[in-house]
Amino acid sequence: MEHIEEKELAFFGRITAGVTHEMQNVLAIIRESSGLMDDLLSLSQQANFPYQEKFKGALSSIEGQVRRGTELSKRLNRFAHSPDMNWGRIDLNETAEQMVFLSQRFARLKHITLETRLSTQPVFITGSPVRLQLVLFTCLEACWTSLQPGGKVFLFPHIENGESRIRFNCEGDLLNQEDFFEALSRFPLWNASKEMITELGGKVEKETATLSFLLIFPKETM
Amino acid sequence: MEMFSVLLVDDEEEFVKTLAERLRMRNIASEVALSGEQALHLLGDYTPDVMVVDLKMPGMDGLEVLRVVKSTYPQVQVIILTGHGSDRDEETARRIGACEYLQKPISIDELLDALHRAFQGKCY
Repeated sequence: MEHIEEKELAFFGRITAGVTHEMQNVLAIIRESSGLMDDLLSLSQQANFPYQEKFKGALSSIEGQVRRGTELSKRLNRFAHSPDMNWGRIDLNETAEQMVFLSQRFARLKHITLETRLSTQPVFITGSPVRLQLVLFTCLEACWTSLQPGGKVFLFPHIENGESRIRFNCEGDLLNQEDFFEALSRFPLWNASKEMITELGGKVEKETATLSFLLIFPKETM
Repeated sequence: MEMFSVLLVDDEEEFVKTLAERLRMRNIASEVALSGEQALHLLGDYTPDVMVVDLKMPGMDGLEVLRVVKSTYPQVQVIILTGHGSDRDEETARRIGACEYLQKPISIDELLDALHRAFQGKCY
């Protein structure tokens, strides 16, 4: 079964990565075409060209959206390549940043802000990149579904006591007046996520007095 | 400003022709090839100072074009321009002799800087 899942993941990854390549080409054509229009507009500045400012505004908007699309496509491409490695060295800083970026839209729909505060030192673990990303997404989702609109979730990858860690720190009010961990445990995928963390050689540790918890992994030895 | 010539190699016709037009507007002599094979055929009669080559093309890919160019016309600097190349592709391209390895889409100013650096032999 696991073998079939690997093949299925690889299939989804391959198709998605291929499409993101095409998207980059589409974005490159849009960028060059709007760039050419901008060049021509600059040449005709002397002429009394009507709506010149409106054209410039529209071109600037296209440029901004191309940058946005490029970043989305780049992140999606990296995500699609995750199944390329079944098990190996994973950069927690990079993975946390990647998952926060890809999760922004989901959180925004709940009016929750996501942020990362990356460690200045490299934080690595050994494991499955797909599984780790699923764990991080599930933890983020558990957080934003427990918080009232306007809340914030921060991710802090770091090293402490020789262990690679990620702290999930929530700010804001809980949807229901209850213990934070009770709220998290009511999230449907929370237990499955905890099992995956165990499979990755890690554990979840509750932090007292704050709306936060830690994922703790042995440093690069799993 | 130095004058130099560029051969753009990409199977995305709309992209490469528009880019060539923008370079010509900046007084850079630019020719276009829509495949690796066409580029190598052109090189018999026309030797540019710099080539900008897409990595993934039908038929001969960018790395193969780079390999042939560096063995036949070593004085031509080659910039690889790709949608999403892997780290391994970049490593291979640099080992074969690519002057720069850039990601699409790229701004015209960034490309111009890279072209000038390549023309001056300042490769990364």
